[in-house]
Amino acid sequence: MSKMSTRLNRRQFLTLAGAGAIATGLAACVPAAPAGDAGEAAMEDIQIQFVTNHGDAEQPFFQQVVDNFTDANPHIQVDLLNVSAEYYTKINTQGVGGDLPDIFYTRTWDVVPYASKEWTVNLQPLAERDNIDFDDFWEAELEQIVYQGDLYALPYDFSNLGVAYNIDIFNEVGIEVPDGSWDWDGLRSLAESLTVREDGRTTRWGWSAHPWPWVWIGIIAANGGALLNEDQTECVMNSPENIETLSFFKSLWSDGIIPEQGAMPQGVEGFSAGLLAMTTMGSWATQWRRGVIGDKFDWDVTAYPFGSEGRRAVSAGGGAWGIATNSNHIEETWQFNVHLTSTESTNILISEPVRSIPGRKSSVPAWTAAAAREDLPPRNVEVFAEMMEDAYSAPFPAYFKDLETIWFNRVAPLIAGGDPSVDVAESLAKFQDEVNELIASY
Amino acid sequence: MIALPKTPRARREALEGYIFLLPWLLGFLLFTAGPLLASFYLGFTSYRGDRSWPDWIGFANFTKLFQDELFWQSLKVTVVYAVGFLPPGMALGFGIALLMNQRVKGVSIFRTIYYLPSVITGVAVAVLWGFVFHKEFGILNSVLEWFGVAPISWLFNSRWVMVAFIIMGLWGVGDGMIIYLAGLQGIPTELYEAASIDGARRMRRFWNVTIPMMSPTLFFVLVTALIKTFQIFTTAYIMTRGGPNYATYFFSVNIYNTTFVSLRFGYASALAWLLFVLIFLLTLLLFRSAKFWVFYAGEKEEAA
Repeated sequence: MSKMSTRLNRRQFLTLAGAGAIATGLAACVPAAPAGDAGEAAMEDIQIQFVTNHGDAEQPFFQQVVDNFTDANPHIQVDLLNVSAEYYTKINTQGVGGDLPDIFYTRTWDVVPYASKEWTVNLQPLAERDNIDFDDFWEAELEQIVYQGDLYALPYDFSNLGVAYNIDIFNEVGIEVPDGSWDWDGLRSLAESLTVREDGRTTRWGWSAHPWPWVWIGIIAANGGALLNEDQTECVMNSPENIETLSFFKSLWSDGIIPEQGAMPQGVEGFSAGLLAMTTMGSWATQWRRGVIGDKFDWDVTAYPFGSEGRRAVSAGGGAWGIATNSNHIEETWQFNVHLTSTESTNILISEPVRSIPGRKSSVPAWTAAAAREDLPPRNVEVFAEMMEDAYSAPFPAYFKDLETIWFNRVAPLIAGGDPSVDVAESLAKFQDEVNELIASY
Repeated sequence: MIALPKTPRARREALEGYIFLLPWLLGFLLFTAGPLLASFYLGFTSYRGDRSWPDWIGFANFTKLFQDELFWQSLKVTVVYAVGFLPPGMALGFGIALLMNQRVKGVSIFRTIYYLPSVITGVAVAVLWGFVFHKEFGILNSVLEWFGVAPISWLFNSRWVMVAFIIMGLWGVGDGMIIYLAGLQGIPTELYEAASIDGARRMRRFWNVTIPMMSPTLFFVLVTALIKTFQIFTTAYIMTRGGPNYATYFFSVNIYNTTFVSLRFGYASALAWLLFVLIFLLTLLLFRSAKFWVFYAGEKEEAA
């Protein structure tokens, strides 16, 4: 009897398991049922997806801009989604699949690759129709968001880099804080005197650099070199000027003045932890740095050093908003994009929180006023806007992402360290050859 | 043609088997089969992710591969890793399984501890080893310092990074250990008893009983480990992104970059299918070699 009951139970279980699996499979194939009368009424409204790639601190500002738009346009629902991790992998996957969000964040160097793949809408006709004031955008940024003479995104912000410094450390060592009139040798000697070694170990470094290629395009230009020729058809990285520049920066980590990659404790941001006396700071990082540093120490920001050519030529890149060609509501999304990049919204998103450099010149007064009003570091934040005067700018080529991969393998180890055996001339020669092969394949 | 089971009971059992297979089968048909076929097609196109229909270019991607330095570098790095990891990994896993097969008090706790690394996901493993390999604060350099070894930049020095990856791989040998352990426990004790009665000592019993009886298990672990080793990706992607100087630019990292960074989907598909062919050929080679060193007790008896 008990044997029979076990057999039945097993059979019942198998039947149920099989039926369950089939039901699950079928359920996955069946589209969701309509929502009835209420659902039909709601379908008259337009829904657009708005995807950002920013920090949590910025989300309330984005929400405010969205709310302002939906208050004025109640039939358009804007779904705001912030994607922080693996953003570009997601965008690339969605781009290939023809499933991009209606409006999404794009760095200026991604505008040309996306436009060339027809992922984003040509905004030129819409901009001309609606008399968009191109003169209010930074020329350098406009250059980066145009593809084949047409506009493919509207600008959000524009960024460059300065040097953040810990005032408390300068006071402790007893040296004057930098005023921005320095050159790279000046930064080196200052960084050297701020570096601390105890028992053969470095406990504080003078400075730290970012190895990103877009940052270095400006630095090498300020020292008389170049990454690409003028029409971007050839890589000219392996030049005596660039060898000299990269040798200088290699000496910074090989002499222990800046930390080699992997030298900083894992998960610790060196400057806010007091392990770095100075650091490279992007103009976009004001809010974030304020948050992580808090009242731990006093700090400020100053301009990038001058290169050997007597100019800073600081690199500039920015953020912008593209509209997907797969969008079913291009007109409404365009209206939202215009609202999102208006002076009023730019003030909310960038000027009032003193975040980066506004993508519109007309937002600069509000940005300057907010910077002066807030008695918070970095008090000299306007230096970012001042540096725009001789900023280096060129359109980013369509192959820039591939160039980045080669850069991170061949050139970044020269800047970030980790391998004492790397040779500057050899690395630059390999980089140049590989980039030229890349250009030939495009 | 597949023969249908003859008896109703056997047919029911086969049906039950298929029902249990169903979730995987549905998943495969719905989510994997399509991309698999699409990637095969894309391998013969120059598709770069744009809106136009992919251009058919025949075998051009495959011929181009052989002139691509990055392809050879990624293949070299993957083979070096496989050669550096597989033999010590197999030996270590087997050795630990032999230890875990002893009748010692609390052995199940040790088994759990050794198996634990295998259930930790790739990203967590990468983060954990990031701490271990840290140049200034890592435990490995601290231990080496006792022997007067200068701190090594494990993950950023192209000469050391492969050693770091092999060490990381060896940490996960518990995966094979559990299979070896099952194999060891399946060896009939009467074989050992008979060998002992014949005067075989411990080493003799190991070489003449354990190894031959374990050869099917060793073969299985070798085949699966080989496949897994050739597909190494997560740790390299998280920890080094293939660098420095392409020293950890494994085949799968190359495929990933070609797909998601360069957006050269046609070429990346060709790379992926070539990896499949390579793994397939190596597996075939192992299967061909099996008749020389793998001992199946059942087969031998039938033949005799």
